[in-house]
Amino acid sequence: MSNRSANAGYDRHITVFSTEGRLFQVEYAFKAISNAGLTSVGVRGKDSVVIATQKKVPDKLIDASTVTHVFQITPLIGCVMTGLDPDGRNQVMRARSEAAEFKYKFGYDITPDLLAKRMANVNQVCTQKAFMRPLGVSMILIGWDTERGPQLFKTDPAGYFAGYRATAAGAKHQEAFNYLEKKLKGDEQLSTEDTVELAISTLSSVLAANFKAQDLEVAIVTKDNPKFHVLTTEEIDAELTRIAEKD
Amino acid sequence: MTSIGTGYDLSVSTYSPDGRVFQVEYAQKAVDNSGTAIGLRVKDGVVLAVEKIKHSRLLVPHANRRIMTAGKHIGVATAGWMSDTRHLVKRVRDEARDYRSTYKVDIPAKIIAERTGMYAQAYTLYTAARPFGVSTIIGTVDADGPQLYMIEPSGQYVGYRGCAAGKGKQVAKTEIEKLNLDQMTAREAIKEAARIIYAAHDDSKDKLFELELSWVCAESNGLHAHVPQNLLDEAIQHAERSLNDDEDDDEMEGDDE
Repeated sequence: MSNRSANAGYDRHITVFSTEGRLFQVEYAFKAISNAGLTSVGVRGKDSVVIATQKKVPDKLIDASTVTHVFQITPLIGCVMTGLDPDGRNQVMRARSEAAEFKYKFGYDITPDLLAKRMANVNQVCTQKAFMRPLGVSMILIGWDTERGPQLFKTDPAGYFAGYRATAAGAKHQEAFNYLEKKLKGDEQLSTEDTVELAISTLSSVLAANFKAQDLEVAIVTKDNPKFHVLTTEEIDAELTRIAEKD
Repeated sequence: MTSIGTGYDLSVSTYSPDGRVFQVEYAQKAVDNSGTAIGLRVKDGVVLAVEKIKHSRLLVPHANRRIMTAGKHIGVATAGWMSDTRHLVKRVRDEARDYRSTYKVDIPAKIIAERTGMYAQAYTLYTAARPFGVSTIIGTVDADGPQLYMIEPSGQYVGYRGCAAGKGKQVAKTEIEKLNLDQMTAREAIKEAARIIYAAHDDSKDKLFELELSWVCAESNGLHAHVPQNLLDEAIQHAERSLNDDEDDDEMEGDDE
């Protein structure tokens, strides 16, 4: 790669811009997310927001119940972490700590948008300090905002964050984005059932796989039940059955 | 895929162009060069076993333990750098002690695994430090039953029914997969663990080694303890016999005296 020799001096230190104004270490951190091999999606509907990700257990000696990428941060907010797992857990711990501190300082629960902004700001610090590397994870955050309803955010190693109607992260995120854009062309506000269906069908489509309940992790927040809730294998099974029967 | 970092591998705070952190991968190699350590989670307990490679006959037998205890109920077996091991195990012990002091109950497996994992991960973030060159196998019996976790140098950890780390990892894993762990008892497991360590041991590379075997089960009163001498001797005999029997793999399961 002739690219590498031309930019050899700039790649290594994240505080240094390359000649084209790029931060290579941040871009490499994004590659680390794709390398992890998993894809996650999040979809926001009218009264609900859903996240879904693959559950891959590579070794049959592993206790599958301990493998998870979906984490609860507060009673009303949760996330799915895509990328390097240890970095993901680090971020989750940080998020939980930030949420708890917010509640202590201000007396009310942090909202998803503020938490996303805070995590993004923390990520940005890593892109400016030489002594630490950006975390190789993307956090898709969902939650119920008591004033604004269902919320979906995504943060990335660059320190960027945005609210989404639907988003994806991981190995096949580009394909997932394309699929979601096609499906959500207009301004439709999906029902809870359709939101779950879209999240799962996005994964099935871009990964060209027919999932069984144990190959997926799904979590949801709805108007009727605003608590962050990770679906059990039985509940996922029920959803898959419903989707299959619809076709 | 080339595994040489060339330039991107000098510090742990650098990604390579394909998104890898080479220092962490190299730390894993340090683990792969050490004596084998395995953990088995069975019906009524957890068994840990280590191939303690001795570099001299002058070493006192049963001294210089590689399997350590944290709290009273947690067994920690490691593969990798011994000095890093001591640092990590000290942390595990501190976490267990502080948890007990705050909450008045013994630290559950899931939580000690998480804290150890997070601690190891923290050392993969900064230029000033390097990752631990240790894979840590934690075994205990808590309110959810027997638990086994392995924490890798990257800080990655998952729960296992059986796990292995170190030189003979591949051989050990193949053997472990053949076992019916969910139906096995701790007594049976110690024999299997001994056999697997002996099988994974490569005599041509390191002649001298000592088997270390420990467990957490009802017989040890829920505490982590090295297996009593008589059971250890039985297990070693079983292991040596299996080696000499040209590995009759089929009749290994539940081979009771």
